[in-house]
Amino acid sequence: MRELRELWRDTRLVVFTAISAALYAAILVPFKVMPIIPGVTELRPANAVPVICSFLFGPAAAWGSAIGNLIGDLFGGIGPGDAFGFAGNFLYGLVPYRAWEAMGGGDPVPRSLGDWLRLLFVVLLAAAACALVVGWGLNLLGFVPFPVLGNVVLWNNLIAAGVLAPLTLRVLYPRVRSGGFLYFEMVSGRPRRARGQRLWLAGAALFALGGHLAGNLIYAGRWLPPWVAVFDVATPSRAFEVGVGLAPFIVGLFACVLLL
Amino acid sequence: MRAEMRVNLYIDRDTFLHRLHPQVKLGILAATFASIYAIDRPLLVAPAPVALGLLLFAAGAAGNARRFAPMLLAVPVATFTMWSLFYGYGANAAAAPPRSEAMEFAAAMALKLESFVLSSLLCLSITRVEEFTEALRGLGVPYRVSFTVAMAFRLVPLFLGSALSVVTAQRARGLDFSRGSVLARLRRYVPVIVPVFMGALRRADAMAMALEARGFGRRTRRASFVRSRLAPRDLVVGAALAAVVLAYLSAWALGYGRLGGGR
Amino acid sequence: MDDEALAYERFAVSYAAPAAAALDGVSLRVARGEMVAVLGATGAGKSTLLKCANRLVPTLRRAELRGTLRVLGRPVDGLAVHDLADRVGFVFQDFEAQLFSTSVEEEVLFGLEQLGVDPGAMAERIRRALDSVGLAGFERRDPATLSGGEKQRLAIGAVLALEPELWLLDEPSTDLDPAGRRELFALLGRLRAKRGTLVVVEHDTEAMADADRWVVLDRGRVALAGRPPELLERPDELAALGVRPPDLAVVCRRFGVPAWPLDVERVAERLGALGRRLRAAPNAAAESAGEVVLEARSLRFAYEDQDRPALDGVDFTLRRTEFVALVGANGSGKSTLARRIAGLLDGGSGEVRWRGRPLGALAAGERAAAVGYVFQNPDEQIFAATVGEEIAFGPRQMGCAPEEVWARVRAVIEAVGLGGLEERDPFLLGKGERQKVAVASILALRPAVLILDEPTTGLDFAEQRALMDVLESLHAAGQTIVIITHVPWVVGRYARRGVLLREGRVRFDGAVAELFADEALCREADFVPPEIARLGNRLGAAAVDVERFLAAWE
Repeated sequence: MRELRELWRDTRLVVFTAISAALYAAILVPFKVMPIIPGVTELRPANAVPVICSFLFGPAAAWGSAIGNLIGDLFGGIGPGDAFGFAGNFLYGLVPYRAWEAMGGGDPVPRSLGDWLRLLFVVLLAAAACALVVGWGLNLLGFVPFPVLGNVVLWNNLIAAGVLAPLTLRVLYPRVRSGGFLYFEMVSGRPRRARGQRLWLAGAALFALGGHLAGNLIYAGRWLPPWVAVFDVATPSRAFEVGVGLAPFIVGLFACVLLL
Repeated sequence: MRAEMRVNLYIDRDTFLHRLHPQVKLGILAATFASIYAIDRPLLVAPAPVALGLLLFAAGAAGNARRFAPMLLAVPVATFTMWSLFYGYGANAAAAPPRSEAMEFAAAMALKLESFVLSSLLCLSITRVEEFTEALRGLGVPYRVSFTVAMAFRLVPLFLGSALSVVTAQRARGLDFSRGSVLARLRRYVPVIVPVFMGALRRADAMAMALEARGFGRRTRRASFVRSRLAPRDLVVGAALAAVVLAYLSAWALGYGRLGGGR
Repeated sequence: MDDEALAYERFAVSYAAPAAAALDGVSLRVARGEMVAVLGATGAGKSTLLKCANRLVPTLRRAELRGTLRVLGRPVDGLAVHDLADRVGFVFQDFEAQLFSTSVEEEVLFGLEQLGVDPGAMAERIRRALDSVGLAGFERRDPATLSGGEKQRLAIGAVLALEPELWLLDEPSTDLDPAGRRELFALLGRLRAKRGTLVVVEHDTEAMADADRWVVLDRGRVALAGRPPELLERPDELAALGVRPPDLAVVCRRFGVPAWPLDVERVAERLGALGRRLRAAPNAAAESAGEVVLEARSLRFAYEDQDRPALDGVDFTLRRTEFVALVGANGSGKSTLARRIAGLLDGGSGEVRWRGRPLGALAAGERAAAVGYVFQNPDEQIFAATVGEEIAFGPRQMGCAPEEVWARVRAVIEAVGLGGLEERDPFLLGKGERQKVAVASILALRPAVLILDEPTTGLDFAEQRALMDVLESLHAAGQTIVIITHVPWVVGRYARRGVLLREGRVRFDGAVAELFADEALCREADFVPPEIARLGNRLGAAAVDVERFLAAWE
């Protein structure tokens, strides 16, 4: 928690935040030309940027991806849904470095099959966290069904970052370290290992992936969580069912990631 | 190099809309949302995109509308298609809403999302980045955060230009983005992303130095230059926006704009 | 002492990571109102010297400091960079990195707000600062739309508004074109006239001839210091320290006449008075070139956001084994022409033929084997983990077999003099070597014609020489070369044919010596021939470089 607030005091971390945001937006904006779901999201090789930045710049990447996504959205029609885009992308930049540390840390460079699997798990977790928040928010507002947006964001993030983040980190990470630009070296020392870190990691994975599954099931009418059923309300856009049904998952996800 | 210009959509004119206070300009976005959000009848939503389109012309931003024509066309079409399929999806046959209702909902949603695109296009056309960040500060966003947003805006064209140079340079070495499977094509971004990142990092160091050298990080109280003041026209426009929102909300409260089975 | 602006005493700096000694016992004193030029090769410690004076080192780059340093009469130990911001102004080489705002006015306002200047006085301070740097009327412009020279002047204006007493400028002209450099040096002259104290790191000795003092650093020590009139008498020592001495100083030294004042007309008078005679024509007859390989006819091209066409009816013919320099002001169409004939730019009218066939009709592989293009900034293409992998990238994209790829890699590494560096990380090499990697990675495609866009930008004198010597040896081995450059001595020393562009048209196409002889034409197209050529013109025999000048007169 604290590092997310304190980074604003350090000039270099402010610069890293602006750079993460601008790199993300600069690669997002040109791809606004060929959207998949126009106006809401689009195919983005840029989606690897927050994950790469997360490993290099730590918390600056969380704020950076949130701001960068917002700038990108300005060029595709900003609306109330962008608050959820902000929050979702905040997690997208925050989860990778935290989850990586919880899984033992070390250089995020794929040297063995084990490294690849760990990296891909981290990317999956970050992608699912982002997709859950964005998909939930836009369905809550009644703009886009969860199965459309939640799944598109998940796959976009997963494919782009799953391929590009490990490959670019392999070249970037050692260089950035030798230049003394890594977040951890700048703030002198890695963050303290929180007790029960693995527990929070498991919780985050459970809420992110479980929430994703739940969202799809709720929309399809295959499952109605008991805490939704008590209200006895049905909306054709599923805004209410998805909105209330996923709320505990969202709260749990944020709690676990912030405690991670 | 060339694309730098294309990032910024601001149209440098001196129209009535341009002269509004930054917070009133953001008020247009908020009012658009607040008015039509709950309305599901297309006929009632329709005035919003029409009005926003007219304002866009009044702001001299027809050129921006032309540039965004593909998006302005695709947004309503895709939204309509999506909701005509997904509306009431999964409900059992007895509770399923009638088909005409799905069509109406889909059309209203298409017009709503179109309005959001139009209102943000309008705001980008009449609002300078520094007005935008000033409005953020007015809304209570801390200085360092709004400054970072402004700096990110400033860096976007720089990095975009650098990405385009890198793409040209790698194409000159035979890199071809159009061949192969999705995975193979994605992998070809590695020779683009790495130089763009390294360039940004080389710069990061100098940027932090330059910021500090100009006094960023001082503990003494920062002074603030007053950039815009509220004028009578801002009150008039603000009141007009409030009236529109109020009219829509009362219409909704009276039951207009709601679809049969929905809520 | 009241008139002391800056004083280093036995001052030493070593960086923590990567560990390296940057300064090794420097003692130097700068008086108020003085303008000091700091010269020296890359890695000599020039930048560190400046960065310590406003605490960028060690605040933002960890380092150990020894000895004493007083800034404006006071020790600075323990101070933060921002504490000094209103007294010490710092200007960086990279003008993009010191602009953070989305309008010119906001950029100047930024520092004023940080320092807590009275808001009522801000508007007037902005106006005065923009006036002084010649940017009045630009208040609402987006810095992204300014030229390089304008951006650097804006950076200076933003510092000027803070009214610093001491100016530290770290290679402010290195990334600028000649017009931008002229504007910059004129502005420095105005700052100086207001009794400003200036310490400038600079490579261009000609531009720094009227500084009060030169300080040459070498491996962290002051190797040479004195007034320009004295140091101009020691061109060999300057050259040995990696500083390019002015052409005129070298000539004066050889003929035993004083170099000061360093002015073409005055030096011509002094040399003319010696009564020496021309022994031979200074420039050998143009060598005969091979057959025509590339032919461009009536090229026209316009960028969509510009009113004036970038190319306005250009004809250009290239023969095998030529060494051509494309020169002219920024925006004259040099890069556009080069990219058009390299097949990197689509659109526009006119046609480019490669050995008689339209360039556009060539297959991708054939085109790569026809024309290779080395972009200005090597960092915009280097991405691989090793030098070898970087160079192998192009041949692999062309589908060469692995043994063919590595045969080519070995050959070009030899050709550009990177032997032994195959396994090194290209990012960690110096700028000069990175530029060689970029050249090698294009050479590996075996292009018949090699085009280089401003290959010497950002390199120090020794690096420039090393790179251009590589090109010269390639040329001697039969490579056809086209360079785009702003650097007059590079044109004279290496190119045989010069093509001068102005506003999208070719104004001159012929031997470099003839181009230099027509100073009026050059001036009109905003290209300044090297001093040695201008001296030659006054003595009745234009020479393209110092060696040929001396050979002709001795």
